[in-house]
Amino acid sequence: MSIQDIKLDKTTYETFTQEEYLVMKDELLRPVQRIGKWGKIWITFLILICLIGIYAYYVQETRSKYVTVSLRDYTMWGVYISNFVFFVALSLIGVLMSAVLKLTHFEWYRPLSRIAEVIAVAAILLAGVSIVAAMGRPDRLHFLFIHGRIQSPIVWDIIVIMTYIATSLILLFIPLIPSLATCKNHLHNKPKWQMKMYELLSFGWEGTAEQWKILKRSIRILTVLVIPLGVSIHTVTAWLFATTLRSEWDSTNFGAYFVSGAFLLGVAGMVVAVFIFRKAYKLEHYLTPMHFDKLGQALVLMACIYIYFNVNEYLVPAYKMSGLHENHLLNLFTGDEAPFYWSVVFFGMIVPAILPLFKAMRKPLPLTIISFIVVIAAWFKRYLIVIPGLSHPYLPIQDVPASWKHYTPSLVEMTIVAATFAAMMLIVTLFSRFFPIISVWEVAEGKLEGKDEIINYK
Amino acid sequence: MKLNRIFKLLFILLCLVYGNLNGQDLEATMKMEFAKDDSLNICKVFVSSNDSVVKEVEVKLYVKRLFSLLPVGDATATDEDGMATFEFPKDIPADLNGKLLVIAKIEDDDNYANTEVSGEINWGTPRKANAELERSLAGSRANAPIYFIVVSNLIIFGIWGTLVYVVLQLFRIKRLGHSHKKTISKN
Repeated sequence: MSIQDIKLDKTTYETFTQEEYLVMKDELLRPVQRIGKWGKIWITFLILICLIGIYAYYVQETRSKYVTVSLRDYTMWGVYISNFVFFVALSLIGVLMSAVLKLTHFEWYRPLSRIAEVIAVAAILLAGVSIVAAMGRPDRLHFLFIHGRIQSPIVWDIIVIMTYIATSLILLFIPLIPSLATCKNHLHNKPKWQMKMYELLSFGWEGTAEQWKILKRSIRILTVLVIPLGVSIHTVTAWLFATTLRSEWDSTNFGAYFVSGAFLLGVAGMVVAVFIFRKAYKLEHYLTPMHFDKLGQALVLMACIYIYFNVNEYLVPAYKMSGLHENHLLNLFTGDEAPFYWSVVFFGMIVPAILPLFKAMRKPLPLTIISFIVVIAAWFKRYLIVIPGLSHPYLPIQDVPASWKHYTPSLVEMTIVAATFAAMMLIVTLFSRFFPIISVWEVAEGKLEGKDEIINYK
Repeated sequence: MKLNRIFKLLFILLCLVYGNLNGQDLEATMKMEFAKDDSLNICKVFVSSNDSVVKEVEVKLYVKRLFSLLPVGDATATDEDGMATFEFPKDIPADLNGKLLVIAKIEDDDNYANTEVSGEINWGTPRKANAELERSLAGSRANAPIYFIVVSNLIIFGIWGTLVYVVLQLFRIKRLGHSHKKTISKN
């Protein structure tokens, strides 16, 4: 019997077997029901880092930027924009882990989808914050809307980021509605405002057949919509670079190169997040070694695709070694940036392409260590795309102060970057403390697969 | 103090003597003429000093651009008549009237001080009067290409329309929930 066949009835159906559901509900609502001592310490720590970051931003904006940040005429983007590219890439996690797997009927996506979606929302919000931090005159942000030209890639980026934020938020929220009803009905000893919030946000969810039908159709529409949007957001970010006159960025490959890198980062980020939630919230029954095994395989695939695009991006111009590319490429291959560049290639591409080929490396702990290394390498990879690219303009740099020729992020910049990471983790942590981080109904529905039972869990 | 003044005076005198010996302060006078020779535009620069022509001195020709000077051809030495002749290109972008500010300079010469002369001539390619009003990718906000505005707006409104539709579905869910509750309470 499918959901559509359920008839309106005054009887309230429970999910499948009552006992199974109760156990599942208790386990998945546990992190929301009670925050332990370590949970509180973790949240306090993140808030502290965020506050330090806000103070650093205050210092940046109230004192001379020439003193507080290392950005100069050539490296005018610096670490903020490489951080922005990293967060945009990370936000594609939602597209891959939720939408693509859902549409292609990989059933193991079910416990992962909400984790992916909340990371996507947090990452894209912090990508926006990173742009504002990079702005010389943030008070003129609204000028982009008033005076922006639709022909400009910067305006495309603003449009696509706002659209992606809206879509990701709605895609996170709609599948949450039945879970909110579950919270409303089953959580106890919670403050009144929190219960009121569940009541308000559950949009009168009663689990009727018609409501299920609308909910599922809306999810399907958003799932389809978010894929081209996710690809667009990172492609447009790539175009910001590719349409700027710099030898490193002068590439028709850039969109696909960025998107493939984002998918690799997405899988690695997912592994780390799944491992942490599994351990911290004791969700071993739901986030199983099978998930790590599948994610490990996905990591190999994404690393191979990314290597392919890197070969196109670096080795083809290196074969020709034209005058325009020579400076920049030799700097990366054998020059000042070489140790940095080859470390990123090794840890960010070779390691994830080879190690998870072995089954032992796809176990939770080894795969998490590999993925953590990939995430760090991915951040530095964005740094290597942005900064050396800016440092090698077409015209030689002449007659400028020494500080314009080299870029090293200042303490203020690094503090703000650290704060964006803390803010991202804070959003994900707080979300998981107010809402079930694993979608109860989606997992239950997955377990019901093939069973002839009525789905109506509240 | 007195000694100090004497040293200063000596230094100034030395400078004057050195300057005269070195000859760098020789003043040159420049005149600029524009002429047409068949289809060629010719710019002539006449250099003289103390009413006599100056031979074999290098003259450089420039055109004034927004931020700096654009060199026109190579430096040319004056001939026996003190004349440096330049063939003037016809494809230099100019203002609406095609006017260019042409500057001739003697720079870093061994014998003559830096000197320059300038003149205006309408030998440039006139900028189109309404170039900024033409629709193009490089145009202003109000002059984006029509196809670009149509396609981008179709995409933007298509996606945001879908999002609005999905949000409206939430209120349908709410209405259905209320009616379901009512049905249950009636029964």
